[in-house]
Amino acid sequence: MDQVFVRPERCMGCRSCEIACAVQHSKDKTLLSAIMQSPSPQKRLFVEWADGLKMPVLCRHCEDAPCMNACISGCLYRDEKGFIRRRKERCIGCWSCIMACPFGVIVRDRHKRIAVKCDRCHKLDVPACVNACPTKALILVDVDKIPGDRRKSVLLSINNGEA
Amino acid sequence: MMRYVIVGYGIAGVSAVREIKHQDPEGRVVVITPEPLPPYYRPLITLLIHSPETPIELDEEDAGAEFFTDRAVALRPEEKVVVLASGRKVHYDRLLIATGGVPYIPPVEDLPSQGVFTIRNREDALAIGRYSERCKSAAVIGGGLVGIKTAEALQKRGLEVNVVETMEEILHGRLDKKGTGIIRHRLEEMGIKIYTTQTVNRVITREGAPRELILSSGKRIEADMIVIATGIRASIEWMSDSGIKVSRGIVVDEYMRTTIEDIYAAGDVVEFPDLLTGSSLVSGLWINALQMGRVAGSNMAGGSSRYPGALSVMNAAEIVDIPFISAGIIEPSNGLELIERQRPAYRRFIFEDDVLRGIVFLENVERAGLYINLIRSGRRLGRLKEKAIEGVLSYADLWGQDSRH
Ligand SMILES: Cc1cc2nc3c(=O)[nH]c(=O)nc-3n(C[C@H](O)[C@H](O)[C@H](O)COP(=O)(O)OP(=O)(O)OC[C@H]3O[C@@H](n4cnc5c(N)ncnc54)[C@H](O)[C@@H]3O)c2cc1C
Repeated sequence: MDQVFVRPERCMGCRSCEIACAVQHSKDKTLLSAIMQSPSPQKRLFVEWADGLKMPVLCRHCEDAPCMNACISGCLYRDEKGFIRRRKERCIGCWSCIMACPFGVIVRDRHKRIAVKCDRCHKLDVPACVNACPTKALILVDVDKIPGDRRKSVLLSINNGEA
Repeated sequence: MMRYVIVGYGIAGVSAVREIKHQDPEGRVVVITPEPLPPYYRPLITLLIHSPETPIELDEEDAGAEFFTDRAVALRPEEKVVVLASGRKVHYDRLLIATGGVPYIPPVEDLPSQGVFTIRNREDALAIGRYSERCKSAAVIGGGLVGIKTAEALQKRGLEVNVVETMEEILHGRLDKKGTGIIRHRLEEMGIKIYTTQTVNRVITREGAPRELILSSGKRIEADMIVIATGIRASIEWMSDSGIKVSRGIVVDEYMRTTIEDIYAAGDVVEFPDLLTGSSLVSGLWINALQMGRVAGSNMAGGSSRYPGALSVMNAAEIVDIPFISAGIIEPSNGLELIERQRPAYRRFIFEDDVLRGIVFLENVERAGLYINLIRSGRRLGRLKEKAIEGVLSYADLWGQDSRH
């Protein structure tokens, strides 16, 4: 399964990923129309600054996803590719998922009063954020292709910006 | 072949069956449930009051179990048998008690037999919706989350709605005073009448149905129907002769084992220690029931998973268009520091030195999960405390410690 990895050492904080995400989730999926759209399309990942560190924070589509466990309306589900997605029409805006997500990456659509989260651009081979990142701080890794015995060390080195 | 019996098919029972089937596909699973299938999202039932067609079913999958539409009335551990209302006896090798909660009904004088409801099951909500068609006014007794959601739903149906609450504030224990005050104000603006620090002394009836309530203050309120939402009690009467240790709920260890061998319990029916204070708690939360059911199921099928415990306060909801999330300790006591922010929206933090113990977020609930994780872990925040209070704490601040090894 493809997973998005973050390499903070490479992040310049340019927010290209945020813009690409908002555009991808706009009606016409172009920058211009996204800017004109009202209410503005919402991004689903967040470039954050911490001590000596910048990084995009985004949904990990957790294995035992707390948001999905907490969902009391049958909105959140795991799709056939393993991504945690919404059945938008079933969201009742109870915010249980926001209460449960330890990464803080689920937000509210204040107009529709429903939860908004990363859908891993499930229709695209490469998610918009990964595609837009000029420094490869966001990369897509097919974890199944890394041999099992090396998986841990490879993923760790990716996480530490060495790969 | 192992024979598993599950009593009660709410979310605790459902997730236990899933886990058992996952770990022991050959095992035989028997489910005893008085409610019609499929199982459903219980927290959604208040929506059925005004929109009976709302889809609330849980994802239907082939549970791979045998279902008895029946109710357990006794448990005989020495014979390893559950007795059902029909008289049938069901033998088990491993048993799960997941019978959830039953509404608690306070003593009220002259409660009529018609037009008075509790709300716990899908059928209750549908019956409330049907009956409300012939009513102009309603009284909801109990101003907790369920009571308030019910009041909102009845108002959507066009009824004049009154809420009667014994405590000083509605949503007692779910929110702090300021938070409940804000929500109460909005509810009243919407036309819902709220009577706090009052009980119902008497019900005046006409032709066997409610007409008026007389409150302890002497106030009379019109009500053509009454919904009692004064909380739930663990559904344990049926097994009270079994010898299993119970207090407010069934006592379980972290493996969800009861005090009798091969009998497990999970969900709203159990009590366990609060993660922060150690005091005993009965959950009342969907996610807790789901996780407990999974742990119980796994252990029944030979695993050894542990339930990490939960916070007694942990709520997320939106009432009269006001989102809120609260968790942990929400009222400061000895040695705890209270910090409040009014802008951009009301937020309250309870700290013990630099360890976060509790939060209340109104309107702007984003990232509450990040904060709740800090409450759970008891992590010292140091310089991050300031960022947390100003609402600019993000996962990036915690990343260094979490993922670099
Ligand atoms: C109106 C309402 C709103 C709620 N809102 C929220 C919310 O917003 N967030 C949240 O986290 N939680 C909410 N809850 C609470 C949540 O629904 C419960 O915590 C959860 O359903 C508990 O699951 P359970 O499986 O332990 O018990 P239950 O869901 O109560 O299931 C128990 C089942 O056992 C059956 N049973 C009982 N006795 C017997 C017997 N003797 N034999 C056989 N079967 C029996 C019952 O009929 C029932 O089907 C709400 C509850 C209600 C009623």
